[in-house]
Amino acid sequence: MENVIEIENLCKSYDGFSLDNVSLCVPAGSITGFIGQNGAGKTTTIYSLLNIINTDSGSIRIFGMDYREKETEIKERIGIVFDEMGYHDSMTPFQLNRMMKNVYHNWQEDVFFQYLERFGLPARKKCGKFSRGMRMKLQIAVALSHKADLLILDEPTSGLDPIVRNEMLNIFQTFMEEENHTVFLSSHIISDLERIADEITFIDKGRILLSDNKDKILEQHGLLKVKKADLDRVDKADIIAVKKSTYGAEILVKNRSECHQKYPDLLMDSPTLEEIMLFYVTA
Amino acid sequence: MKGLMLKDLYILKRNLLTCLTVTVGVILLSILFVLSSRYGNIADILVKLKAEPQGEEQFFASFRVGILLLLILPTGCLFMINNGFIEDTKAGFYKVQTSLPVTAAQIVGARYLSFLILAGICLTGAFAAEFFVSLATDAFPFGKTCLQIFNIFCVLLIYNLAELPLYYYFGPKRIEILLCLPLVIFYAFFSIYIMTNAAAAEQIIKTGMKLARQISTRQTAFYILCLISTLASYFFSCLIYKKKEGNP
Repeated sequence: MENVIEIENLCKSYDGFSLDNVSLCVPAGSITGFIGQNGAGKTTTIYSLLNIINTDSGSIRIFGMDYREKETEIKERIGIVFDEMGYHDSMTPFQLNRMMKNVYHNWQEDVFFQYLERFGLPARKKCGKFSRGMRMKLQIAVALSHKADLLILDEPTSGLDPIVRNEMLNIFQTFMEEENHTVFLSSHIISDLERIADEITFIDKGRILLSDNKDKILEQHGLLKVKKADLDRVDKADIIAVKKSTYGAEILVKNRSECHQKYPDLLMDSPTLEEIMLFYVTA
Repeated sequence: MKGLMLKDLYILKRNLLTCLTVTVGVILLSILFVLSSRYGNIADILVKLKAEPQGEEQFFASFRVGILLLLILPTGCLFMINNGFIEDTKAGFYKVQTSLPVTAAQIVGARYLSFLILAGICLTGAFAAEFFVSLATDAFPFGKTCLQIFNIFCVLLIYNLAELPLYYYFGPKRIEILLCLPLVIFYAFFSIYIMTNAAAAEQIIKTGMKLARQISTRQTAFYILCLISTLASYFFSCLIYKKKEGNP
């Protein structure tokens, strides 16, 4: 599968935080979930990707093109949703449409107004009077109205109620299914990504801990539930992390089927994505 | 670029309305001033002054300065472009702007063109005020006074153009403090100096008049300077923007 985004050895240092050789790929026609805790480096990676902040080293290619060389061309094909709306409070969606019409070559006015209607956003109301959900919807309407091939979303569902969140996730999924579009979505709400993502990249403290197909991740990882006495029986090479309790321990293992054969008498469970991530963080 | 210009004009809409209100106010005040000088209290003073040696000349000088100061008031709205920077920062527009398919030169260019549109509106306001004044009195012939207003406007334009790259360099919050503080200190010292030294005040006015005369006699050179200032300001702003890009 062709990659829409290719990041190689991306480094960026701040005071007290650094992106450490971040490498990731986003395959075309997929929804890639970018998971991590608050402050893990998701927004920094996205900002680097969009050239909002400079990087110290590394290379970024989008649609197979070097970002620095073909920046305008690439941006024409990307729809972006930030965690906080960056439009002026005094502007209305109607004015925003006029502005974007003169910014994007492929701006579709009719599509934008259709989205406004679908989302229940008043065209003549000032953005400053919109709720957080409405602001997010407005950003999505803009992002989807210029024939973008790639949607980059930075925490689009955080702080939203479950109904709006569900609606948003449906929109992203529909977008991806239409015309082989690609979605790169960062979030710390793992259940959202578990529902819609095809690929998962997990970042923690500026380092990529895991990046693979979601089903493969869920299939490969196993959760061994053992008593204290059996803890030493498990080979350390198989263990990713151990969570001890008063009566025993839960062990996240790398290869479920292999471990199942190795330790047939031990109880093996399928972990959720959230459990896997929690184990990785505590590892 | 047009899109970003539109955005600037939308966010400065309230400021433009203020500019319009100031212009209307100035027109009304100017007409009242002129009418008073013909039929009202100022006319009475003028009659009294006529009896004194050089009285009429003295009155006319202050009368002209007063009216001119009123007429150039709308051009003060030029400073409103600063609000564009402030509003962008407040909204967090930088990230949106950077993610749009526009180049740094287009982003800066859009701001400059918006500034020039604002300048044009300010100047039109001042000319409109002068038009009404010229209808009320022969003391302010339309063409000649417009030229004087334009020259003063150009001085303000050069000042603002010098300020714009600093906005890109320091950002609106820091530059407000950096520019305001010296101005307040200068104004305070200047006021005290003038109040305590009448001869110095007269000297300053004379120097100002001399400078205005020099501008009038070397108009072409002055306009070229204005044009060069515009281009240089744009060039430096582009350089600063590119240098600061990715380093907000």
